[in-house]
Amino acid sequence: MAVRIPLILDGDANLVQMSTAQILAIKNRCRYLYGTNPSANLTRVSSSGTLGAIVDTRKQAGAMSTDATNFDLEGETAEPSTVTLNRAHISQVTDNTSDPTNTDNRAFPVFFNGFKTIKAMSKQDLYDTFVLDAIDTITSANGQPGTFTIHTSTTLSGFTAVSTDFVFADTRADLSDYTAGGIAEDLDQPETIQNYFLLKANNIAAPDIEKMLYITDTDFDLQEYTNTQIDAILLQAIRHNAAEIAGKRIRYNINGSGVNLGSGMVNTILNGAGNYQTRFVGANDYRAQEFPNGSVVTAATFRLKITQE
Amino acid sequence: MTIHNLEINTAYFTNNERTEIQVILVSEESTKDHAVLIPYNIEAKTGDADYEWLVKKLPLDDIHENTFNKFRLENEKFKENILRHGLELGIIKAPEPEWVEPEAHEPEWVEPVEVKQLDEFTYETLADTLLEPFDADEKKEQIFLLKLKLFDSEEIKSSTNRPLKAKLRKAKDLISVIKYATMIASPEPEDLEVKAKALPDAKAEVVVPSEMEPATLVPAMEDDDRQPPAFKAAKAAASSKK
Repeated sequence: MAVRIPLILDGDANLVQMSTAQILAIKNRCRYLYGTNPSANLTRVSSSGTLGAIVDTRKQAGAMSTDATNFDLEGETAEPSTVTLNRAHISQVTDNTSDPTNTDNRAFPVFFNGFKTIKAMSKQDLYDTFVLDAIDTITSANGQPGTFTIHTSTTLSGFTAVSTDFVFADTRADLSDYTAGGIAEDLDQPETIQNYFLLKANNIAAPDIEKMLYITDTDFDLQEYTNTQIDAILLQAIRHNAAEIAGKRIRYNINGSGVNLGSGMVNTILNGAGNYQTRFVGANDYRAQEFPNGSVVTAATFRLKITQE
Repeated sequence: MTIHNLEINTAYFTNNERTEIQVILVSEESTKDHAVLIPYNIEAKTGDADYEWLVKKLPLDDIHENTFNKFRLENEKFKENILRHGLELGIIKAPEPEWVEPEAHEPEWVEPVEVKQLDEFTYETLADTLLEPFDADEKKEQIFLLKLKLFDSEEIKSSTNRPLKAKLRKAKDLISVIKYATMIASPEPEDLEVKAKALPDAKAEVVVPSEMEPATLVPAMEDDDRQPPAFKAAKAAASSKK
């Protein structure tokens, strides 16, 4: 790993090395550029999302039993069972990229290479000096430009909803819908406890940067990059690393390794063994049924994470 | 950015392992007249940015306290539901309304009866149970209910000794629960002094030591009036043998 100190011109047109703050501004420019066109994206899909299924479970009533002479006992009626929904609504799409071309080995910014020698950075120098640190920052916390998060609402300052359709919904049996007078009740009568949405972090403002220098192709002079020129190089560099360079690829997962992005998605369920109820409809029709009941417990928590792999 | 500019309504743990916290946030969609509350689930893990933010805003001790209060309420609600269903199904018999004789004269004074009394059996059970091997997993529910009960008591509820209350909350076995509850309800004078030193306004929490009974003057075991009946009976039996 070779971190270089790029050269710029000061106010008197002298060649000077960039300060730490000026180099940091370039790294932040890389983050900003990534935010304009991320190489790893998440989308909301109706099914078969590539991040896999997030499981929502809930209890439903047991089947009603009827008897012509008396009520079936608790032990004779069907127990409540578990309904399982596999929700796979998040897909990850990664771009195919190419690395920036280092034409004649002098396309990238120059630095002092020992006494009175000026040299252009290699591609790896460019990555080591600016890009890899920028990727480390992007994957270190929630809310970085061009990354995604999970939230319990579609609005959150600093983010924009990818879709107003949920990526996960926690449901439970709606106990108020089950009544003895309604036996035979429908088995599955759910209510939605909480929806979770996919949001994308808004980009940061473009940081101002100093104009670095490069060696011209024709007469080997030093020339300042325009912002457009250096942005094109840095964007291609960060996108390529984040998409395809092993160990630096930005990837998302559910409950794997990495940094948590937003709210955990909680699957809650009622933990009771069944609420036995009876209904006498008339001669020859004694009905019994077991409804869901119990306390709310967390069955599982699912977290969206960002990592480098 | 993120949730860190939102106001916190409350926060509590959502699992026994205390690794998951649900924070209730006041959403940006709230208006002056209408607060919109949204849940947000945080992993209780050092290094997690949301967790670090939360514990800076809301002390961990408060989150534990909120958790106890929430579970206590849910527990009570659950018990009420069970009772209601039991009554509906006739499994539980409703108490007969008490017949009150119309009083033509002044009611007689009735000595109040203390319902809950510690008898020798309770002491024996406590002594046996306290020191026996303890299976934290098996007795998790009982320990939880014991802690709920203790936190309901005025001595513990009103105590300002947060470090000890936190230890009591985290206690996983019977002996630790009893130890910390006792330390809160009946602190040693040196504990009070240490705590007083730690407080900005030391005088506010100091209990004047001279008001406390000097334990060395009257050995506790010799003070028969303060002993349970079983002790007295055993002592009387021992004396008669002599």
